[in-house]
Amino acid sequence: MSDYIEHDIIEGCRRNKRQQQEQLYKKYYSLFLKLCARYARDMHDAEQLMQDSFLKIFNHIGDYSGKGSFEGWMRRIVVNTCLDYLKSKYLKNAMQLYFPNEIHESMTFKVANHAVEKMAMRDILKVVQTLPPMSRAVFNLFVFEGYSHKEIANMLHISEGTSQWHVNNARKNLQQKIKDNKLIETKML
Amino acid sequence: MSSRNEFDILLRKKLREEEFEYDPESWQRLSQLMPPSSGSLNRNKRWLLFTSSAAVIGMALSVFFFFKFVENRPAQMDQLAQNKQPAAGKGTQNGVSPEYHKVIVENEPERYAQSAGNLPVTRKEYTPVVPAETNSNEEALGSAQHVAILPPAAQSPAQPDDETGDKGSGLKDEDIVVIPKEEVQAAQQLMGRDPAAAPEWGYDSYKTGSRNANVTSVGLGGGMSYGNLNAGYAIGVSARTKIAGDFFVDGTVAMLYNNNTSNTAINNGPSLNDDDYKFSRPGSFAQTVAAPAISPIQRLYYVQFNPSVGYQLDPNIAFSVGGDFQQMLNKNEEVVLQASNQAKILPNFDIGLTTKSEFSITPNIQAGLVYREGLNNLIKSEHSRYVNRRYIQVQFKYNLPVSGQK
Repeated sequence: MSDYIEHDIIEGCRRNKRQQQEQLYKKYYSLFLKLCARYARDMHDAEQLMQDSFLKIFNHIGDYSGKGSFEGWMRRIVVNTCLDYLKSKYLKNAMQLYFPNEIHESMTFKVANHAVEKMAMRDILKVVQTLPPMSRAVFNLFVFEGYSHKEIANMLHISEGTSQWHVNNARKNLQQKIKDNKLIETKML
Repeated sequence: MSSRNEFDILLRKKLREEEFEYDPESWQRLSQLMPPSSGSLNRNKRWLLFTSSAAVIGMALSVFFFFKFVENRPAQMDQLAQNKQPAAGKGTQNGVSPEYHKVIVENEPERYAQSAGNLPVTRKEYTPVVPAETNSNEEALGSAQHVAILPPAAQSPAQPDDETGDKGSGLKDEDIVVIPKEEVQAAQQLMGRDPAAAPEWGYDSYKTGSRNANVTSVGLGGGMSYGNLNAGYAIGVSARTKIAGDFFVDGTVAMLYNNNTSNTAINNGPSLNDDDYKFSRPGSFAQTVAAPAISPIQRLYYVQFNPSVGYQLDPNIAFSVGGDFQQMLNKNEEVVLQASNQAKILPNFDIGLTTKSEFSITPNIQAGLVYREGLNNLIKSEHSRYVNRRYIQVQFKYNLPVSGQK
């Protein structure tokens, strides 16, 4: 979005102009829906999360000082909204002291990469949505949002080691499920 | 800091490759959760301001004309008295001149009791008028069998121009013209009034200077309009009828022709790409920067229905407000106009509001000025999609009365 148009949209949103708000919503609809879909358990929750995020964006757009990327500012709001959702629903016991379902890494890794190449975006999102909530949150923050384990630990009140464990656990879970899906597809064929 | 794991990189890549298709209904759901747009708030505020101003102006005009009527009642009474000559042998024998213009009806004595010299009296019981300190003649009012016509000099106690030098006591017997009450009642019945009722000082005193003295009339007329995105012509028929007092209802059915030629020419300026001189279209400006062109000239035909309610401010001036409904005839689909990087739709069924002021040039010919404002964006919820067909129209009408005066 060019700076000139972005400036107009931001100003319009600040003045609560419906037209500019719709333009902003339309522009970032896909990006933020994908983001929310990675944190939610299904697409219905994902859309709800996205709408809640945009409501917060429109209500607090006056707080945007103009420094830094506007997209980055919005993205932080969306991620925080998703984390609040996870915390309120699923992460009541944020500190997981045990490490269940340790999966041994074998040929799963290579098979998964090959399968991911052929998967559609929606299918990948569905697989991500099957992850345990804490692992899902940590995996998204680390892989997609680019937070370090230290930052994730501060955000979720866990240790860095736990954060690393969740990322590995999520990765292995995804690879296993992708492989299982490929086996199912192969059988169906 | 992004993960460098191959699997992670692959996941990110796959999610970037595809996009979700935009769902407009999700925006509709979201917008319902949001506070009202400041645009609609401004629009509502403008409407509130407009209707409040119109209400205040209407009330002020009503009060003004109410007091004007009250002031003019004595003058109108004079007019009536002029039209009614005293009975033969009454008054003329005393050499009373037509200037004696005050007819006092027995059933409104209290109105005159307040000002000395206006007391209706019988001829026999007349006594010189006394200034307002006494109301000695009030008792005579209840039993008066006749009405008295008093000269204007008798109306105010403060008139010192009496030859005798008395204040308000210059009445003489020969100045009074007495008409039997029955004759006054008969005259009122001829005018269509209930004799027991207070005199009506309304349309009856109007002369035929304006067609609006008639109850119902029809008219044939036409006009030219000029607006924000269109210019055009109209021709139609109208019908008007009085409903109460000075209020009337008016209905107009017309055919409209609309085009945006002038706006297209102004906005489609010469290209800046070539060094060669470019002929500009008539009506455009050579120095105009080539703005995004308005879509090709649209020639549109409408049938219009314009009901309104109005008020006759003056025998020759009327003001009315009403709705305006126009149906496009020559196109079934909506016409989209591209202007200033924004697409707007010319509504197929256009709803608007009109205000009209009319002036009677002659009893049968009227000139009018109409202002029309489109209401589609206000009524429909598609967020300012529609072109506001706002224009001013100059009209001329020829009117034919259908029914006469009341």
